[in-house]
Amino acid sequence: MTALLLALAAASVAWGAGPEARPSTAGAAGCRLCHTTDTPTKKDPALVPCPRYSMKKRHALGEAPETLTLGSPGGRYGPVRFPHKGHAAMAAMGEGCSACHHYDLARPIHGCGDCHSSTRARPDLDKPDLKAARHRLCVGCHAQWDPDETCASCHAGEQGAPAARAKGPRGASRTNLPERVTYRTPSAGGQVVTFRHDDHARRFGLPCAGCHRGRACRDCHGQGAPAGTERAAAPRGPARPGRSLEEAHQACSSCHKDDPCSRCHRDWPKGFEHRKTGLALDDTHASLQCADCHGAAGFSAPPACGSCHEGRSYPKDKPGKPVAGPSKRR
Amino acid sequence: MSPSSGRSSRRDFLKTALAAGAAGLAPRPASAAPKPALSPDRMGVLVDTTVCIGCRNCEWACKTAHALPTEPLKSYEDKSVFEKFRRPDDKALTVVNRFDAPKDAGTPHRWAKIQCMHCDRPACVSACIVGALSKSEDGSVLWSTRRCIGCRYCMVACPFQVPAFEYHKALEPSIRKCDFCHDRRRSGGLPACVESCPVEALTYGPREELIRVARARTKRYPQRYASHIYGESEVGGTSWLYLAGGDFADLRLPRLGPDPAPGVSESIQHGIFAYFIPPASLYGLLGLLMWISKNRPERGPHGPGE
Amino acid sequence: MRPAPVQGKFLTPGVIALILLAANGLAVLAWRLLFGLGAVTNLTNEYPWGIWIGIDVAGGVALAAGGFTTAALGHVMHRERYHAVIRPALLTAMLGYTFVAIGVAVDVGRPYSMWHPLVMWNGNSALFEVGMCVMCYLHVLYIEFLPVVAERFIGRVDLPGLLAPLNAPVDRLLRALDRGLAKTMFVFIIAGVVLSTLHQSSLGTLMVIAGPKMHPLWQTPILPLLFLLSAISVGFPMVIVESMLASRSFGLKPEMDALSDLGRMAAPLLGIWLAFKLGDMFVRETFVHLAKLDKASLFFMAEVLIGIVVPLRMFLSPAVLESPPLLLAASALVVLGVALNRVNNFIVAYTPPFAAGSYVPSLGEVSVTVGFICLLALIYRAMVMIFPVISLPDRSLPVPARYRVRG
Repeated sequence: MTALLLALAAASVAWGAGPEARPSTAGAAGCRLCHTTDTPTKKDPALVPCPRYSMKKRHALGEAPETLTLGSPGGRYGPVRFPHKGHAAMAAMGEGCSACHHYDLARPIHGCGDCHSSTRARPDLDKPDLKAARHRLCVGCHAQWDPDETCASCHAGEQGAPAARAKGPRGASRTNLPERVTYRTPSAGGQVVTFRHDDHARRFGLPCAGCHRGRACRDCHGQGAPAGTERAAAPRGPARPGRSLEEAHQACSSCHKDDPCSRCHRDWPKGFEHRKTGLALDDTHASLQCADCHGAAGFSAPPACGSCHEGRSYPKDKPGKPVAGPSKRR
Repeated sequence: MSPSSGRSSRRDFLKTALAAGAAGLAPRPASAAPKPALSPDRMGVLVDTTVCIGCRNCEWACKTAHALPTEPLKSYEDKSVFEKFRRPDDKALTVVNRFDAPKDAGTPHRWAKIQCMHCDRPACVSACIVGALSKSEDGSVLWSTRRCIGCRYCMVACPFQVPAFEYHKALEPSIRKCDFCHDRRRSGGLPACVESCPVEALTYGPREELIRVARARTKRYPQRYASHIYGESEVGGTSWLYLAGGDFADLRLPRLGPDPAPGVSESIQHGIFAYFIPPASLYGLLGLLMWISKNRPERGPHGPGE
Repeated sequence: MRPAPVQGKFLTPGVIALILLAANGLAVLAWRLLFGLGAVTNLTNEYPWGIWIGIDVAGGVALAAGGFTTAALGHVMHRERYHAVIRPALLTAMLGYTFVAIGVAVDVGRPYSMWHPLVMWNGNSALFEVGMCVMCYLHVLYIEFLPVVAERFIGRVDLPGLLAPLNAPVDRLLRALDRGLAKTMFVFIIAGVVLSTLHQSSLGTLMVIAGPKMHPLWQTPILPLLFLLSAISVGFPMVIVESMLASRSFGLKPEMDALSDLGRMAAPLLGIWLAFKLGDMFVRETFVHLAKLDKASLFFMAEVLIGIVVPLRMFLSPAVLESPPLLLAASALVVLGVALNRVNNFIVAYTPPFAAGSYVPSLGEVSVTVGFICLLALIYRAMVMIFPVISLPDRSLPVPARYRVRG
């Protein structure tokens, strides 16, 4: 039992038992990688804490190769053009590189073929062969959202026909990206927040992973994914219990650093308390109408002081007292 | 006596016969029934039903390898076949069935391929009147058209209900079942289904090694696997082994005990015969009875001729 | 009284009906041989064996048990008074086993390979044992019948036309055979009993290997013993039934003396069978399945009640033993019961784990089975009209003085 675990640990570090299975790029994995001594015994293996966990390292998306061509020449199906970077970008929203490159968190990253044998008739049956390892990774996720996927979805066909997916990147077309998402928030005022998803995703070209974290494939793909362009029905919002206001708004506020709440919470209601924005108006200003200062430019532009005061401007001069608590951008 | 002698069970039977003859009149316990000489290196296949994706490539590969008529591979993408529970027959030596997956399995379905299990102590081999079925040293249970008379006793005997018969042939109807791609393997190849499996839900290797691999998997991923390895002990062990995420009965694998299927019948059979001692004794007893019950014992059993 | 060929017309309305049914069966059989088993039978991969095995073979073997039980009684135990029923029972057994062999031959997929078991042996197979024993026993039965042929033709060989010159050699051959067999017949008689004991029990072993595929009410390691006991039990009742029917058919008086005594012996034999059957049920605690009142339990109860309990009670009553119709009824019940037992063991009890439906014999299968039974009856009728099989009343001769036993 212990021996088995040791064997597994050793195998996971040394990338396989046979020398041919050892990746050329990994360098020599000496005893010292796992043991504190050169002569570990069964009773006292003298293990260092498992290096796998300390070897964890994030890899930048830019390191990822764009496209990989997978497949063996003799196969029944043609090769697969695997949009690696696209998948890496998606993985960034989820488990990260380790979703596929398991045990492979240290530099340099290994390809499947570094450990998985390319032949099925082999003595070492613990690991699936290369074909199986690849298929398991691909199918394991793809089958979750689309049970009708076929071999030809990825492979060039038997008669040299192109793969159904070879026409180009298909991510957007298959994920039902919403045009906009309408959130109903528990905020006292400005309950409805409309998020223009397509603007952010396409026009601004923001990376998905910039906002989305820890998502499963199914959250965006297939039948489990939100359908249509509007997500009004199910109220989703930042008001998940146990999150501070900052945490709840992090996805937006990381860019919208200086925007006031009204940038998003448009329909600000009557009975608005200005102190919530971080600035308690003095009595004079408190009696004014909103538009007297904010004018036609809206709430995102700095207020205008010039209609009453000569030579004054915001934020150099303030119409009241900054208050503690919610940051100014609230 | 048949000219073929490469059959382990037969050879062993003769060996046992000689041994029993030497042992004399001692009653033969059930365990002394002849055991096939099982090679420790015999091969097997581990079917991991938690990995199978139900692509049915194995069905296509099997038919192609055995020259059975088949639709093009493309047609196997049709998932509607899963609506009916299917069994192997004379036109398809292996079939994949779909089942509901256990809770929190991540996918709604599980699939299980079925074919001949290639028992270590096969009931069909024990049953066959002419020894047309044999367990070969590489693990496969093989059928010989040269011997078969089409009595279908193997089908009655098989605990997995696998052998199928070509009922619509008047001449040379065959028993059809998975032959573990005996010919392909002998020439160094893999079984067609194993070779074609895209996810290697079928792992081919020495049976002992497969059991080790399977046990390691169940230990390492206890949430993913039921701890039992189906076929390790069922009916005395089978060459094909199964791993599952839940109850094997949910995959409609029959619940079977560890006793070899032919055990009871063979011990009865050898008990009744025990190398002709009981029949000969009965013969002698009846003769004695006949002689005693005669009025005049010095005469033959019948009156004088006409 | 002494055995003699029965005089009379062969064709009667009943016989014509038998001929029609037999012809129908043979026509279906031809269809099966031309187009395969699937064209005629309802057999499937789930239910590989049907009534051709359950009735024609297993039932046939059981009901031909009269041959070895009467041989044991009359020849081995030397109860001379039963000699009148031995020849009819022998003829029934001989024809019965012949049709068993034919039944197997048409049921196997490759009838032309039927000789394979002779040279390709599998000592582990119960079927191999049954096959070899049945084959040997069939030959023994033919040998046992040879003296009857000799008795009929010695001094009366009259071959037609061109074959006439062979008359003398055939006559000499018959006399030589008769002389030789007179001295050695005991070898064959005992062999016949031993072979019967072996294969009647091995027929039970056949289904043991089906293991859990067989309903627990029937599946037991003592199946061979139960088959043997039931075969012994049905031997005498079968002789009674067949003797009574033959007597009636030819307008003779039934041999009530011998038949009553046979009936008297049937009761203890049935009792032993019943005891083992019920004992096995209680030891294995399978009676729980009786409460389900499903198909299996109803067939089991029918088999036990109609086939064993009721006739057992009848055979114990002197009134039944003295009354020809009641004795016939009781015997017929046993015959039916044993036949049902064989059908139950081979068909009803067989419950494959993956069955889409259940097995119901096709019209073609029934036609062939009925055709075989009719053909057997026809040949029996013809044989007793040609050969001295049935003992005709001959008051001037005391039973053992004139009558010579050969088979």
